[in-house]
Amino acid sequence: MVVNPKSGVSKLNKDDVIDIFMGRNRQLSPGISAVPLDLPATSAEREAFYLRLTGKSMSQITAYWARLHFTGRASPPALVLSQENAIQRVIDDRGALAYVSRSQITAQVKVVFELNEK
Amino acid sequence: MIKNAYMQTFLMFAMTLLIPSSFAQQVGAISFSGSGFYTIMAGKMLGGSHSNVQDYNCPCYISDYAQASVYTGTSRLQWKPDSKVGAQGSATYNDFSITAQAVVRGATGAANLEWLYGNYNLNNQISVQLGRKRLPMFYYSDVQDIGISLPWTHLPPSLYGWEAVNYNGINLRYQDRWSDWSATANLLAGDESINNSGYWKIYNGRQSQSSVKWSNIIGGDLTLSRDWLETRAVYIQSRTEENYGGLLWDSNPASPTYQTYVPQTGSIYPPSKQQIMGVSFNVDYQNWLLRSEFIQINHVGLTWRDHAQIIGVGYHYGKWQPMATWSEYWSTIITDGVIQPATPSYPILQPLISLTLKYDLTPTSDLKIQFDSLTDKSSPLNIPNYGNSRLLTLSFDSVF
Repeated sequence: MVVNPKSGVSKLNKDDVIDIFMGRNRQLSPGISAVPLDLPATSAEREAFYLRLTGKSMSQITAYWARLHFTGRASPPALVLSQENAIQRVIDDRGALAYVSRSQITAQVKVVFELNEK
Repeated sequence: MIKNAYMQTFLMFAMTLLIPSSFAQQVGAISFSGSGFYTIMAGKMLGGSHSNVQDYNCPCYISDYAQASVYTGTSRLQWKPDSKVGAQGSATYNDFSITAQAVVRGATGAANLEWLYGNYNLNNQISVQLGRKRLPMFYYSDVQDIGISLPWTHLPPSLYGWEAVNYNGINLRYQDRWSDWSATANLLAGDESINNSGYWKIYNGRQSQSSVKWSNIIGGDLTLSRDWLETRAVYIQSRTEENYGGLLWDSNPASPTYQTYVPQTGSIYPPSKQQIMGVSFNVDYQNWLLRSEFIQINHVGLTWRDHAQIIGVGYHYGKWQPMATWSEYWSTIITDGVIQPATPSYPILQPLISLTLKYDLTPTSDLKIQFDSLTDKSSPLNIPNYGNSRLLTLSFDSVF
């Protein structure tokens, strides 16, 4: 999980990441709203991320978000088309958070959480 | 409204084929977004009590009381009762947003505005909404039209069957973490008026007319979730007026106008205070899921009390999810808080067993097949007595 170095965040735990990506909390740090980013629904990285983070399949995640989104309770993460786009968005936006493969990480972003295979 | 039933159905399905994908657009400081959902459902009656109940050709399975969605005794596949398509749009400017949602249903053949409200985030925990919203009587009330959010092809009508599903008013929402628990609470106030309610078409005939008013609605709910457990409690009360609107199906065999529509005005029931109390306990533990919900509705000053409950157990196995659900509605005569012995027309007792198999087709769509068997154990003179019914439904649900 990477953020902008100017986000004011040095570390997140698993519960923090779940709260932000599942719409329970959108406050990243004082004065900065969290902007979580999602890869396309068909991407293997997105499926692996949610499975490791929450134990839920993409279909279960879709059902969960349909419940929140269509009742106006929360908006799902913003969509980006690739990991490269996600990194660029994090560089450009102090509130953005993205899950990317380790090989995609650059010096312009900050790693605040690592999600390992079980 | 388009009158031809086949044309209505065709147009609704055609709309699902023309649906664009969701969109998001930023114009200056305002962001616009749009998305939607649809359910295409086919149902076939497999059996039940054969008779004419009012002007319904039965056996009949009532799948949605509020929309008068009824599968009748025809041998054909029936597409209209539960098929629907909905679209939602919102505009957001800083902490203020406006959201609108419209749904076209096969059951009514018309577009209905289900949601239209403004939202303002007072801070990260509290927001206020003003406008038209879903009345959160039940756990799945908010998403009753979003098929992909449901573990069933349609909601169990034993519990999810009432005359009002929306309200116009104000809602204060609170969301925060309490230690390891995620907490969401709502406080609401408002009112709702319904002309020619679907609910009363089921009791008084397809062409019957009615006027329902729920005023002074106040209530709230609290949802607590942690890991695999989610619990919810709700209380809502209102003043309720139900009036005949001009036409009524005559169900009295002794009447000379028996089995015809007759003019009728006045109160269906005397105005009263209604108290709705419900709890739900839901579990998603590893591959298992449990859905349970219990509700009681008191009618202060009147002589009956309504109860309903569901218990469902499912198992998530890869893309498959089989589920078995037992639900029941019953209504009893009550005097001074004491349930009275059975009479020729009470209690009403309708247990329902539902067997569902869900298959995740894509990350944004599913297929479900469901068998429902309702056994009407009501007292024999309860009118209208729809009797037993067995229904098979197949649904395709998607969001976009």
